[in-house]
Amino acid sequence: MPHSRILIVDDDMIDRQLMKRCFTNSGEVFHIDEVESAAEAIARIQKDAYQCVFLDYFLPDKNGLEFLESVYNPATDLGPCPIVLITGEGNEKLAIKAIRSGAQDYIIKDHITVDALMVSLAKAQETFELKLSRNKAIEQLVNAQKMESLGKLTGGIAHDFNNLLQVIIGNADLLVNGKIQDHESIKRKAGLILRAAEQGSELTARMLAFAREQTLMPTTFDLNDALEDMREMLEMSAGQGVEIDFKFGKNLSAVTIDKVQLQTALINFTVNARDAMSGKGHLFFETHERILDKSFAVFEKQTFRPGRYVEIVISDTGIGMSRDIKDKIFDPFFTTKAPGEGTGLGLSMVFGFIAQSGGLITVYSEENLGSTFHIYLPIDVEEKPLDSAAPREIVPLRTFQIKSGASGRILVVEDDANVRDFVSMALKAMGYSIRFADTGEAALEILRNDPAGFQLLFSDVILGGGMNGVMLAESAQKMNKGLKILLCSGYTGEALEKKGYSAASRFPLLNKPYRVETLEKKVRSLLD
Amino acid sequence: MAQALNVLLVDDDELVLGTLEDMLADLGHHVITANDGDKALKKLSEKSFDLLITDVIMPVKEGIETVSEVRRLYPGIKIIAMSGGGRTKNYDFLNLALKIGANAALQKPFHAKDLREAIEKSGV
Repeated sequence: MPHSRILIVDDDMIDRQLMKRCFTNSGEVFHIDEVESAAEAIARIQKDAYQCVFLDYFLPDKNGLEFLESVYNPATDLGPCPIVLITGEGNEKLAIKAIRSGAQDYIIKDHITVDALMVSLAKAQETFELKLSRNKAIEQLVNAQKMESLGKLTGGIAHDFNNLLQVIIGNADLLVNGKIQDHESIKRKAGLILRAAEQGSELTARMLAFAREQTLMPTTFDLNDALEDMREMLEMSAGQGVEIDFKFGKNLSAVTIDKVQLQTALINFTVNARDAMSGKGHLFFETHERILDKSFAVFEKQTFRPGRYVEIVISDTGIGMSRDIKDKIFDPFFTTKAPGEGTGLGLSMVFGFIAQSGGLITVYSEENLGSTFHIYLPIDVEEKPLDSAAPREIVPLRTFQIKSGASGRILVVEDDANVRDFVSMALKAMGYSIRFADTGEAALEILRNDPAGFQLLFSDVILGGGMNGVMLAESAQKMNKGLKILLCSGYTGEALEKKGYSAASRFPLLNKPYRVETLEKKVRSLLD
Repeated sequence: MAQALNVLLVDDDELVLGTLEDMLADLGHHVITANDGDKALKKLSEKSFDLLITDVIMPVKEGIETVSEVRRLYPGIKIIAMSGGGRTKNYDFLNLALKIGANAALQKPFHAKDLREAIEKSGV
């Protein structure tokens, strides 16, 4: 078995000697390399594979954290090999930061013994391996999902094309070999062949749209004007039972996009909404100008380019979607409609068109309460996309300019674990202490036991269980009149009103997804 | 051609239905069409047929369900199942149709010759 290869990075010769002696006395055989600076260490790591690097925090050219950041790969949430940080007594905070930046363990300089080194080495290697296999499993899953999508796509196309070929081959066969050859019959067969060929051509156009390779004709226009022009067409698509409301954001920047394709996309959403509402309900179109930044990546798994966007929100009061369906709606050939009623291509084409135009679509939905789609069209965005496919826990919140120093206790009611992590990091960074509940009932129990213990209740409006955020807010204020309330929802205030959450307008509302800055501003305006 | 058969033809695609109807008529058979399994079962209850030719992936009532029900209700009728494949991954619907009572199978697209052979193979 090859010897474990260890790199010691420390500019103090005595410390290096001490560590080397510990490795030698461990009874195992190690191949040990030593360097004195971060630059040398980086060069060594690039050249040779190490089973572990023992890294002193104080180096002549960089500190340990800077070193870690320079070798850290955010996509894998790992450095190039297992790394153990060596720090002084009382610097445990540094060690925690190091672990967040890709180190696997830390060891206190004055406590270096054979056992301590061996435990640290084993722990670092095990943690590193675990993370590697987790990354590999995620990659395999993503690939499998891609293959499944591709299988559906090719299967769906094969099925539709075989039907078209049947019409062409069958009729051509009859024209060549058939017994009935009167003028009318020949004309009918040639007509069927023509229709099949035209359908084939439509099918390839739809495939190109999905493949984001259709020819787009972008023009620059005001989105509010375009929606106003489309009002009649959308109302016709929605049918008489559906009431459409428009709420236009003020001073929107112009967008540059293929207008005809956008109209097709909006009609597609309208028809889907009509079907989700069985022809009866409310449909809202709203426009806003939005900045999408790193905090957006916490809510949405998509890769996007940070910057300014015009947003179209389309919200219905239909039956909504389960999480399983929501995850699949943009897949080609996925449809919830009865066979023959929908091809399953509509939303995948819309997705392709928006992506080809540099924008993105997100969806928010709750079963029995309706769905909200957000379409973001770029106005002024950065060149480089933000790859939020990278592990989500590493979205570097430290890059936000959060003012710390606030104080107060906040009860946060949220059932989505990702949002909970984000809110927790953000509010703690501001200085608040927080407690979580995932249902209205659980939150009320906490408040009942400690009625004066919280200054703010921050709750999602739509919650699992029998009690929604509005009901919770009302009951909570009865217990503690001074308690401030902040509600949040993926639905806009208007949409919530129409969905029967009319009392929601009594409380301040934060729309999901929100930026850290927006959260900070809202919370501070209520508490400070 | 040995004899003119009474054929019930079932497919949800209107163009395919028209084409196959012409192909069967050219072979000298009498054809009644239906565009889903429910309508096919209704027509079977009204009139006697020698042969059912049905697509296996269809709306309203899946072809497989139709084949199974027709086999149970009308043991004497011959059945040909056909499919363009694809939409249902990893699942060979034509083989399944043969297992549950179809007498022959046709993979779309097919020529008039294949249709004639499948009819012969069905034993009608």
